[in-house]
Amino acid sequence: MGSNWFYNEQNTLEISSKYDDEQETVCPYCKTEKADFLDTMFLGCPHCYEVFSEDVARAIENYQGASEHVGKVPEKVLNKESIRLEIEKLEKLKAQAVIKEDYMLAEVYLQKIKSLKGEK
Amino acid sequence: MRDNEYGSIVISSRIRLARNLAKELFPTRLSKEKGMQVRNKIISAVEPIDNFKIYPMNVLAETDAMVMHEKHLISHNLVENKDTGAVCVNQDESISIMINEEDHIRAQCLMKGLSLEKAFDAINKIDNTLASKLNFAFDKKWGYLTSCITNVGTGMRASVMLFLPALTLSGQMEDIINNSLKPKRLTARGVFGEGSGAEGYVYQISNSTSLGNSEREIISLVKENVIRLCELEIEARKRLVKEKLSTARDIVQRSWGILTNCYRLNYEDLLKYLGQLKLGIAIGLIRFKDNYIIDRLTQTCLPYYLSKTFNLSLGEEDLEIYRAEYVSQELKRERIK
Repeated sequence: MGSNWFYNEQNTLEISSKYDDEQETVCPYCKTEKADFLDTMFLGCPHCYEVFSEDVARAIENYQGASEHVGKVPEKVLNKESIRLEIEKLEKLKAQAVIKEDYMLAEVYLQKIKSLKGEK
Repeated sequence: MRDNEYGSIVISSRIRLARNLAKELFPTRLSKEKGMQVRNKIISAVEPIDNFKIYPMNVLAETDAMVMHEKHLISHNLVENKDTGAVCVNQDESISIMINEEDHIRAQCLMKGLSLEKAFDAINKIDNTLASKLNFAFDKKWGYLTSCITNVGTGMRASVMLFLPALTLSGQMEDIINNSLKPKRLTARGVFGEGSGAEGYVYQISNSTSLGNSEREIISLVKENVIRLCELEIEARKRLVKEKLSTARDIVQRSWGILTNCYRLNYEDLLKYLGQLKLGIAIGLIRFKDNYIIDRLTQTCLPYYLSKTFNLSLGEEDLEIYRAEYVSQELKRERIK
């Protein structure tokens, strides 16, 4: 995975691990070349979708005439999503409990969060 | 649905799902060793499902693999992937799961008649079972990630095989394909998929895109248009009988003449003339004891299927001689004068 140097809003130099500015020309995971993808529409691995994100998005929208999946979602992914939302809700409740200085309640929420994250 | 009325038009329905394992390179990029690991992982997930037989391509004889290909259970790509390919087929051969084809998993359900929903329900159940055991490459925005971006999203292809002789003979098919199907993101291909011609007046109608609509929406779109094509074919058959009966009769009689008298018969010609005889059956110009004789011969006379069924080891020329004699005998035996 390549890194890009860029200046943020505060004009401070940062390193981005995202593939935003100049896109990679070779996928670091499977060695597929961007030129090959543009030629054939074939990718080498699931990571290519992220590595060549801009070109992939353009090609998909061009061919499929759509840019969003609306069909079936694997149950495991659905479960992950509902767990993520539950954790988000508990984090807010925990923060409210802390503001009210109800540390016992905050601890209850924290334990629930840890349990959902599989940390206990 | 007026299934019986469309019985002489709709041949079969197929739903295919493409899936890949997360964190694994797509099949074309896998080393032999890694490919075998992926294959074995998927086989382990399929094995506990009842009534599936598993055939790794490296142990499957070439003839058996080609028969499976002719039955539309596997692609030619898979036949060639001896190193890491495998196929899992259920007892009645309605479901096949190809491993390490273009994607790690290509699961399909093939059923007779217009049965897209039934086929989807069957393959969806298998997909859920596999998804509970394997981690599929899935992205919230793009859906199921596939080796080629033309399959991304649902990873689903819903196709129906149709016999459309009257629309073909009246020259309407090209216009229908370009102006009616294409704008709705539907495609029409020959029996053996991409690049194959519509031999024997048989077309495969399917969705050409897989993203932006749910599986049920895609199925509805294909089904609606298949029904519309059936209605158009019925109209075209009526016009053919009314306005060009002598032409139709000539086509059917010539086909009968060739199929019952020729000395050698290649498969391409067989499809062409059987298609014309089938048209004769559909418009009442010729009758057989079994109306499915044409579909039966279409299958049994495929090169590898024929060799396997009758235990033949013939060269191309002798096989064509055998086919001609076999077809002639079968047709004569089944015809009602």
